[in-house]
Amino acid sequence: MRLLKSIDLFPKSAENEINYLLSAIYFRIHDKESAITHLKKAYFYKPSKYDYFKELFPLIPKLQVFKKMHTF
Amino acid sequence: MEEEFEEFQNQSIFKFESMLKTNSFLFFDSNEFEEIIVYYLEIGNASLAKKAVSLALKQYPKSTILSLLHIEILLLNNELIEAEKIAENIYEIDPYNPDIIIQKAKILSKKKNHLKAIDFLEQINENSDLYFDAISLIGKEYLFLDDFHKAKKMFIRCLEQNNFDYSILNNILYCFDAIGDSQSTVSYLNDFLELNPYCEIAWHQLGKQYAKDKMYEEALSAFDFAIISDDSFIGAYIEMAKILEKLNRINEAIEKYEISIGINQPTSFALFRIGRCHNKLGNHDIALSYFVQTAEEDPIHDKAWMSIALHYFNKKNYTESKANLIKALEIDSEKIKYWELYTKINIQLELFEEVEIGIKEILSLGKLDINTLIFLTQTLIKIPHNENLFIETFEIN
Repeated sequence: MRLLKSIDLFPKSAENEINYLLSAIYFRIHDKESAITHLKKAYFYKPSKYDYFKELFPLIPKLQVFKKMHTF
Repeated sequence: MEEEFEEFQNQSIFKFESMLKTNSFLFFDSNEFEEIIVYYLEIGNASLAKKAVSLALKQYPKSTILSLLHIEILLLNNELIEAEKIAENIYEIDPYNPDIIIQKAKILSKKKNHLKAIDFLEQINENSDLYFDAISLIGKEYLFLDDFHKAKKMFIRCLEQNNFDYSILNNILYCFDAIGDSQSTVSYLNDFLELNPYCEIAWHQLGKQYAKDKMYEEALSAFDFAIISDDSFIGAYIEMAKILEKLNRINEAIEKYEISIGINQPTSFALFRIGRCHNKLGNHDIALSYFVQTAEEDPIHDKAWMSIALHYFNKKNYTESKANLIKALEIDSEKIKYWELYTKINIQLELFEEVEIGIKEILSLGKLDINTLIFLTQTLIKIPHNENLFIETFEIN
């Protein structure tokens, strides 16, 4: 079993957390576009978790930087 | 009277065993043989019981009591055909003998013919000495049939005959539990306790029922009464301590666990729980000493080894932590939490090949929750030179 396959099996309620994780993974492999897409989704539905995941994954940009990347 | 009987029984056993040792032949009357066989059945020595019954039947082939005991032994060994043959012979001669009715019912029960077994047992009337045994067996037959209402009714009737048969009380509670009506259980136990106010088992069961219904204060009172009824009742102290832990009354919980240890020799369960309580109070070194005692008492207590490992991990003694964690993993290698700690320790020790093993083990267990997923992602991002593992794990090219 691989991690991404396991993600497919997670409940809908965990979707936003998973988007934060996917964003971190894509940042790690330098796929900035995918990273931002997932981060955008994650932040849109669960902005309150941004700081928590930023702390866990320093690869995720600071909120101000991220906001400048996209206009919501 | 009882002492006289025991003396008589001891002498017979001694005589029988010395006869077997010396290969000589001694005389026993049929009563003596009966006592010897009953003794061996009670201590669970089926082979000596069989030997005794075989010798007895050679001398007294027409004894009904000895034949009934023979059936009992055959049933123990699941020799149903032979048992049935003997039972039929006795039944033909004496069909109203409650002993043979019970044995016939037992044979039917073993053959899974529970309804017919019940029919047989119902022939035994209230005046018989074996009425109590008969209704208890009927209750058990209903249990086999999963008819908990009828089983409960029988066991309740049984308990009315003998208030202190705890196995019957347990059967009643099992039925209530299977029926799933906790209110009726509580009400039954309260009625029972009105008549038997010093029955510690009933108080204990009432406490457990209250605890199940999250009525913790009531549960504590019930356990208190169990202890008043029998102040050496370890189960009541343990249950009380578990509830006190839930209520965050940690010091009181420790006190109760310690009493339970003082009554009998320490149990790994109580030692471990005391350790956990001390951890909650921040007494980490005391907690460690209890976890070590738990592991000494029960070397396959994986949670104790894990707790010791966690203690050393928090103290940054990673080598010691790993040594203890490996013991936990040897006992149970299917707990994700253990592999998480294994991975964390190896990150600290910079043993990245072992980190990889840890990650793969976690993935292979497949029961990932969001916290594990976060942990794995964090680990994979954190460790250096992990490109292959990263790509393999995420299947990203």
